[in-house]
Amino acid sequence: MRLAFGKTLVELGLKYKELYVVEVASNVIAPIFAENFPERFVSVDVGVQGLIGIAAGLAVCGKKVVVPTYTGLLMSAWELIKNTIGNTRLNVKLVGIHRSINNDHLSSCYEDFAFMRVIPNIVIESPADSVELRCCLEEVLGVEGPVYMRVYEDEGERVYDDCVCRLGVANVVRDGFDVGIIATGYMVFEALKAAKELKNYGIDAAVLDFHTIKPLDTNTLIKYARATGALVVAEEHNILGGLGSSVAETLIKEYPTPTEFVGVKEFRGYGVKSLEDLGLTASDIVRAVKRVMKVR
Amino acid sequence: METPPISSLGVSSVDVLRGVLRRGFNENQLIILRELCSYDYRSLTHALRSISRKYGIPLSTLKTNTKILKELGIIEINKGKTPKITQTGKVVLELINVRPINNVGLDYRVVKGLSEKIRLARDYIRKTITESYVGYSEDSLSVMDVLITLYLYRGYGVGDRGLSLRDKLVVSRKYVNPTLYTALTVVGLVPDDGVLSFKGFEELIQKYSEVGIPGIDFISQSLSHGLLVGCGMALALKRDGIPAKVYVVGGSEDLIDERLWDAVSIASRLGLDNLVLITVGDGRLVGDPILRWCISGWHVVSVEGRNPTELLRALNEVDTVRSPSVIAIYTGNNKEVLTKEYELSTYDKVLYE
Repeated sequence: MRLAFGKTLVELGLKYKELYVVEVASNVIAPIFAENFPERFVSVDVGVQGLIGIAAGLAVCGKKVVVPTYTGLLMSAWELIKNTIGNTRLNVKLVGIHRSINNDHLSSCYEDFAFMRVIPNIVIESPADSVELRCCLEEVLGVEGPVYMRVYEDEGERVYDDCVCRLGVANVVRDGFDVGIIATGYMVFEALKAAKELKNYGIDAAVLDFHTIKPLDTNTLIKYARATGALVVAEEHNILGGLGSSVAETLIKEYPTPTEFVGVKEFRGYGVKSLEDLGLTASDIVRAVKRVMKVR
Repeated sequence: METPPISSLGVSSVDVLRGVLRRGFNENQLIILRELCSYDYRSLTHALRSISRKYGIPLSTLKTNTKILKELGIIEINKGKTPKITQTGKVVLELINVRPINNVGLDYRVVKGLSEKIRLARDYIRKTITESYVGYSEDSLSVMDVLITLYLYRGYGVGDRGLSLRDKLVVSRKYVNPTLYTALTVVGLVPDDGVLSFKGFEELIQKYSEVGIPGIDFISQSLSHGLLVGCGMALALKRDGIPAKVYVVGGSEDLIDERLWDAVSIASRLGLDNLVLITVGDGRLVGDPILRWCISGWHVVSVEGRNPTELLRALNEVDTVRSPSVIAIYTGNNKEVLTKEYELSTYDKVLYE
């Protein structure tokens, strides 16, 4: 996805003449953009806090600024993101490169949505694959204001052949009537695998790709809560503060529905080597569906 | 009729000659001459743009007048080089009594206008703070002079976020809402409805996160983050080829934060010569900031006390250097400052000295 991100950025660089990319010099995420548009590429050897400041300054002067950096590092500048970018609604697009637990378990960050959700005026995006990333990035650069987007470092599994993506509107990947599986990012692929497996048990599961975590698509959520009466939320994130929390907060007000959460319980960065260890696989979703079907 | 030799002219005759010569120049030409003999501008364009900004004279008027001065043989202009006064020009300037700004002090009208505005602002803020029993006069007054001087000196327009040719202003300081409100009212950027109160400040603060306060491009809410934002703005202006400056007004408390020093090193690495940091502090500084600035390749100007004339001189000086600059203003002990603030007469004396 990281390569697709770089390529899309170059294409969009041709479209938007005011697009700037600001990066840490020692670890460049999108070198392809630097090669094509050196005059609009800023690389500085400074902490992420410095990056946020420079990006904010460029945005104040009317630029569209993309700041790609690793998710964990981005969280270290939370206060500045809130005060400098969120409160003042600057046109800065933060891109968190998420390292999957399979590649590098020490720098995986499973708290980014929780941190970002509380920031005012921000939009949070988490595309499922490279195809969706392309649409999302186009949409993201089309809107004014701060955006946080999680991009997976590895290529990952393909979910879409072709997709239309609109900010704040969830994609229905697979329709069903017995249970709704709400997923985001990589977990959309696992949810599809789970839906196929559930078919063997005679359960018809809908898979919804909530690529926008904030603002949440409440219409689709309530529609499927009414239609199925049971929901499972799957995300590669801590169960506290992420998509699951957001869904629960909406449901409790609008249409209380039995819901199960598949996510990271406690992550301390050691003793865990794969997504199985974290309980983030198709079989975990299947188990959660069975649990929630019992209480429906 | 016999003409007496020039050497035999008396003092009164020189005065007559001076008057005649002076009438040959208009106000704008005199301003151009005084500016050119005071500072080393990079090029004619740089000189004319700076003069235009400083005095609010249209660029086309300045160009016409410069052409006349060149034809008269008073200044010499070579493409891409510093415009200079010719030897003959120097004699003429001596005769009509035009001397470099640094030697004779700043234009009397500029300083007088400034002092009146500052006095008005001080009256406003003292009244508001006394009536509402809230607010800190120390904090409020600490950056007042700097803001008003900058506004009047640089000729700020109404703030807009898009690109424009005017200079940018970043305020990297918390708890200065009353000061901002008063300064903006005094210079006419915020309508003065006669009801100055803290409610007004609150409303202004409610607004700024949405649309931006007129005349201020950015207010940093995080400590010392203003300079980093200023770096970004200066970079944007430089890459777009806009000859405007970015002024960051901050307090000395920012100097203890390492993020400020990050910004200092970034600015010199990116060669941001259009960035000016103005720090206002009471002199109780941790470490040796001046040394650190110098090591990083910044141009440092120290200004003692709160004398607007000194500040204007410092602003003139940093206008001509080719590196990021810092104007460090030392206000002395807080207690002493407070006492002085309320003695307006003392203040005025300092101003006109």
